[in-house]
Amino acid sequence: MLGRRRPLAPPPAHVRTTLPAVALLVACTQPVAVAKYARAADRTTQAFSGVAGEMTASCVRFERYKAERDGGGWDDDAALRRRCAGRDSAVKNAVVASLVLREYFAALANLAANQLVHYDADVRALAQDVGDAGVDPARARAVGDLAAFLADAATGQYRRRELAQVVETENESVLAVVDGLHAIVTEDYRLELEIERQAVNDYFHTAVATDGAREPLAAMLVKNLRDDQIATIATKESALRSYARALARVRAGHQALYDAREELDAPALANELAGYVTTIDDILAALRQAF
Amino acid sequence: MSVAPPTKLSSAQARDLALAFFRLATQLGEYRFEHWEDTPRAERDRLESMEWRLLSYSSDFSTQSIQLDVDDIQPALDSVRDGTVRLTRAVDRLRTPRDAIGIATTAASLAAAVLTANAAAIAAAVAAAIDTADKTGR
Repeated sequence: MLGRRRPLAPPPAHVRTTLPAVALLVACTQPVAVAKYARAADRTTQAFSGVAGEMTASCVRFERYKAERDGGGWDDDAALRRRCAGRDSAVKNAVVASLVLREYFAALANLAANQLVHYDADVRALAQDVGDAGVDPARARAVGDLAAFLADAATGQYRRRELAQVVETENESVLAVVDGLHAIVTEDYRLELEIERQAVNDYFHTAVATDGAREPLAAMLVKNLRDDQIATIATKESALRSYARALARVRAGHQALYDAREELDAPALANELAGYVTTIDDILAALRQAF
Repeated sequence: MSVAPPTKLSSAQARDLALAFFRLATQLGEYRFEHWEDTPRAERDRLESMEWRLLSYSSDFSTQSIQLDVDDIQPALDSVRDGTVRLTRAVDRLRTPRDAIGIATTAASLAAAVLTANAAAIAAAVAAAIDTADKTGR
């Protein structure tokens, strides 16, 4: 179910009367901070695919421990992945949502730089698939709206003069998609890692409880292995919290754009956006170490 | 007990259940290790198997919450939540490993019923959960 495109509303009267002067001003001053923010937001949403891949990987690791203890002791990788097919499918829909969001931010950066928007037709088809996959209608609508905007912006040859109105029209959809990704990261993936940690503890604790007294040296090695696995999970949890903070900055940045849409060159907005960009870049640099 | 017609979970409902079954699994795991020495091997194995099953159900509900579907089954979910809360409290009253296996089996049946989205199955599983919880430790 692809969202119905909301047409750009005509500018209000006070904008129409001042349009020539504003156009002249805008032509002289580039909202550089907006472009930088949009590129940072683009990089943030790009990182989601790595996070999403880890969600399926965590499921596979859980299934491996479960198979060892509860399923006859051995399963090949393909069998484990089949058990995580539902997770993989759900994650792919979330990745498509992030892809559309990424295209949106790339378009926003282009508009801020007074460049044309490039549009990948596959994106709209993917967004359509998300809508058909039983995904939350509200989120599917938001994804569809953003995909429709991208098509309109490309065919309508949008430039910087449309920037403020694009921010105004798309803000609700952007926030909805960012919120959906944020919830997946902070709640669903976090719980998946807790499940994996429980699986690790159950697996190794059972081994030590069964044979530890008879083979104390082996038990010590098993505990060390358990500690390594738990430490790896803790690193991923820490990275997730950081990524959630980056998404929160993306959200706050777009809301700031929306609030200041009548004056996108304002120094106060530039300062606020610059702060978000710095934080986002620091977080993404740390993330690259974890995923 | 009246239950809403079969339908899908909302994201928040799925997350709620994912957490509830995760907590049950971890509590039963703690019980298994605390009573390792005084639990026969066969019952330990059975309890462990049910723990893995509950963790799997928790993961399944977590997957559903990613997928997101907003049809509301709040009335049914209220009764399911009541069932999981009673089972969780009942873990504190466990007297024998067999009690623990009973709780785990009932919880797994409840999770399976919710995943089928079948109203009659959910109602029956909730009733069984409440019955098991009420009898545990008494």
